[in-house]
Amino acid sequence: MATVTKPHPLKGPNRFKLGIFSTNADGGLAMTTVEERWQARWSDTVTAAQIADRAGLEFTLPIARWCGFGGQTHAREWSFETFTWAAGIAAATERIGIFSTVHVPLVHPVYAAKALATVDHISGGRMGLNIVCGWNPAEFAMFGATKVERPYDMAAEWVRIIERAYASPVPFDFDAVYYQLTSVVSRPASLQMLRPVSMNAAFGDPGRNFAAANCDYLFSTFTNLEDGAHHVQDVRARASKHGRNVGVYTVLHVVCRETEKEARDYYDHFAVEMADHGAVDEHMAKKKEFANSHDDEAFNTYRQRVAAGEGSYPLVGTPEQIVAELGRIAEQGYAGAALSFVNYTYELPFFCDRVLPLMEQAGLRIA
Amino acid sequence: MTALPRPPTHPAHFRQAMQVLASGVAIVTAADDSHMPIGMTATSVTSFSMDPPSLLFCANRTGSMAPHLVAGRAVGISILAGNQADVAGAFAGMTGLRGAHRFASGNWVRGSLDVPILLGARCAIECSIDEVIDRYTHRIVICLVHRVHPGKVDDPGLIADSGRMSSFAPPPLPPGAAR
Repeated sequence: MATVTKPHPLKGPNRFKLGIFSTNADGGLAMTTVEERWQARWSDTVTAAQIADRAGLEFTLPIARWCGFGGQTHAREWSFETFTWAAGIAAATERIGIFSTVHVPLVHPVYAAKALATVDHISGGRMGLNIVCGWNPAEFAMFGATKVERPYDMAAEWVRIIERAYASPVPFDFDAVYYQLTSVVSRPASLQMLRPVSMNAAFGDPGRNFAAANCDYLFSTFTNLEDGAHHVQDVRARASKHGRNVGVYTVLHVVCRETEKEARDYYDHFAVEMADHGAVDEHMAKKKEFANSHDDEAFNTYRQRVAAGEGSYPLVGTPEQIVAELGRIAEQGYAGAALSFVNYTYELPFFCDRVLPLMEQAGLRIA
Repeated sequence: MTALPRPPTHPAHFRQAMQVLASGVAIVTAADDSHMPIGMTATSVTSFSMDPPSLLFCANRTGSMAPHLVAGRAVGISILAGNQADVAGAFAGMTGLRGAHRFASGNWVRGSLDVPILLGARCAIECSIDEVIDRYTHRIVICLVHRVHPGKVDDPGLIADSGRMSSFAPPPLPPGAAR
């Protein structure tokens, strides 16, 4: 058996860890019609992962989408399935952490256990699991899936089955509310023990309690920095009830340019003038809190953030401004961020060359 | 020659004496009856014989680990580095976590005998239990060494001394000295 000699990259020494988000799907996190929009061809997503790998970023995190947001670009309709995507990325990289993003109700835990272990072996212990319990009616209708009453209870069983499948060298039965399984066995087990690192993204009580009890990391977006600190404190308090530490990460969309004007102009260009308004409308139709506030400045700001990064927080400016903002985010207690760009392969090299050294100077990273 | 009488007990004095016997700190890992990983912090890991390579450690018979330490089963011994006091605390029960939940502390990977071994430890050893001897309150566990995983051998070690754990680096070797 291969001996793993390095901890998973998310357990490495940097104070503020970085990854790239959604390179497996068209547009990345953006809904824009600009010519250079992310096409997510296989060569694109591999190149982005390799740039991040060589620069020492900690992870690459895919999104799981089965249908898109519509609009002119059919945003996200094109996306690579994330276990098979992760296997390919693992073989093409050397040290970056790799996630699969898995919908619990759509993927059987015994299948997930085997796929996850396979990529953990391909990657030499760099694999991770992003556990998704949310219910998207349009996507789940494609599967003819039936909505469950308590999705996070189902997810807790799902995780237990994977952990037991890895632990047990002999077949075992599992009999609980959501799963009744006979003579389960899954070899090889993952290299990481008890299982590959796991994360989820949740705002509500059930999701955050699930993460506090079962996950190593929780991703949480915020609208302004002050709210950000509250999310971190909330997750820490819940995790400490279980005697656990859960690292809190966020999602940021990035426009980093030599001057602030260039960055601002491009931000308005791709995410306002050239936004895929149809896709943005469809995405925002679900955000009821903004439905009746069409003239509001907050609404326009939010709309731009949706077009630029599905409502995540913006990181727009010069390398110096971006590092200062990352420092403020770290001060709120965040352990890292998943980043999106309009075009990862065009923009990551400048970001890595200019931002990472400044982060070292600022004490946010050591390598 | 007549046998000495059973010694009078002075637990406090004995504890005091043993507390100043500084020792390395290790995490012993194994599997419970449902094959889930379990582990405990141990300061009793001792080299036993070179032929065959073997070691022993002791576990309290009333602890959760002892029932699972039986002949033929695999155990992992991870010898902690000075910066792993938090892992030692978790596996000594300080966080309140029990059973497999303790493995959230530290970076654990699967060894060749399927037992957890700790990355960042100075060394990890995979063993099979050859024999156990129950005596007084404790179980003496004699282990045959299957595989040694050298780790951060040059890092300071974690030492338990006087009821506390601390990082201890051996003084540098004089110039020209062989290891």
